[in-house]
Amino acid sequence: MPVCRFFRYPIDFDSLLEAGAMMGSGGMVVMDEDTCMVDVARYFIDFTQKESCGKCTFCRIGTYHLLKILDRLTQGEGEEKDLELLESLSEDIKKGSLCGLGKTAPNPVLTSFKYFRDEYEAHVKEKRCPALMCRPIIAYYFDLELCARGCDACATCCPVDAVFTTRNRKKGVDQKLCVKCGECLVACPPEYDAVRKISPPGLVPVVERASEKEE
Amino acid sequence: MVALLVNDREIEAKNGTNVLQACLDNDIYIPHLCYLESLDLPSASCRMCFVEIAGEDKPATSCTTLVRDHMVIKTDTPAVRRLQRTALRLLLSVHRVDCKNCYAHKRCELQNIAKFLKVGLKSKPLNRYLKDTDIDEDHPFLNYYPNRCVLCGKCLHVCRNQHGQSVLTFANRGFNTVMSLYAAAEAPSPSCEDCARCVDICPVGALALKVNQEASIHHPTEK
Repeated sequence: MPVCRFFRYPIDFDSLLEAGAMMGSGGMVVMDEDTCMVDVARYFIDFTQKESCGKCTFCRIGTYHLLKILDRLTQGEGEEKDLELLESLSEDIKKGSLCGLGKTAPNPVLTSFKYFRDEYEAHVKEKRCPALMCRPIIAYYFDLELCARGCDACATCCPVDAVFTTRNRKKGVDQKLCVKCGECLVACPPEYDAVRKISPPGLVPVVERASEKEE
Repeated sequence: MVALLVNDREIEAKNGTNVLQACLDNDIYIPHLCYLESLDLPSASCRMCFVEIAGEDKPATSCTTLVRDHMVIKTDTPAVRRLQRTALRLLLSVHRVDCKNCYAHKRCELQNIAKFLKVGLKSKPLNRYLKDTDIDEDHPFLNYYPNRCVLCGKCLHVCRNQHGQSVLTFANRGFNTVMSLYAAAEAPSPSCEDCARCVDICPVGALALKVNQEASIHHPTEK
């Protein structure tokens, strides 16, 4: 649920249900713009899909389809018809399932779809993750204005040796090698804070390597 | 006896019967896969027999709804049909549609329901996800086809009714649920070969006697 719309909203069973959420065990998770709503929906469906006992058709097969669609979206392989299918299938699973698990399983999809439709559409139409969270459709690079000459913090922690040195001893990312683990982002000293993420990955600036002679 | 109105037609039913049985007894067809009259409590797992009951906000499964006097029921509203079609498409999305090589061809309940609901046998727009094993041949007399099974559980119930204990059981869970057959040592006597009630009750041809198998399918000439 978006905070801007539900600021000062009462937290009780009926109000939450009306807003498209539920009380559950009474926990509340606050997320900011760095959390991808499509990925959050995928996470919840992954959980309910695993918890499904397998007795009734809608929950057994329906949640599996939801998961597969959300997998595709977060990998940048979604199509426009997937969004329609996601919505109509979710509604049917909700109405058609035998027990409470299946009846509530599609809620995260329906609610996030209702309030954050733009994020879903960005994943499908632009193959872009606005929260810069879905690994297959983001890329890492170093802001050369901020990157410190001669600093090796990112290069030493990169598990796949994707960081290279440029002609003026700054750093670049070999996009073919990079596995998008985010270790460089953690390692980059806060006084430089030079690691950036971008989506879709095609927008990543081209950084030239120092030629071998110079290295 | 109670009187109820189904699709604007008045029918009578005994107190304590469910709506599905009452309709079927009066030649009003409602698609269903898992319903067995001999079962005290319907399993309600196929999610096919939806009807709309006046006064209720969404379709309900008719096998779990008992008849009441003056009940008003519709079996063919858009909401009902939408759920039935989705349920059927979901089942077809995990079904090996290879009717020509299936012994249940032309008497298959999935084919019948698809025809009734005017749904193609392609699972569109859903992708098809099939299991790796097409045939489980571990049992001495029976073959089981996981990619044909709709998990209605009728085989399990007829076997239990007949022998007090079932040779068949649900195995695994969630999306990976299948029927599993106990090996020969635990099979009831007389042997499965002489009983075959599970094969007869199967709505889709997911179970077959090994002896009949070689005779009835594998017609390489028929193509």
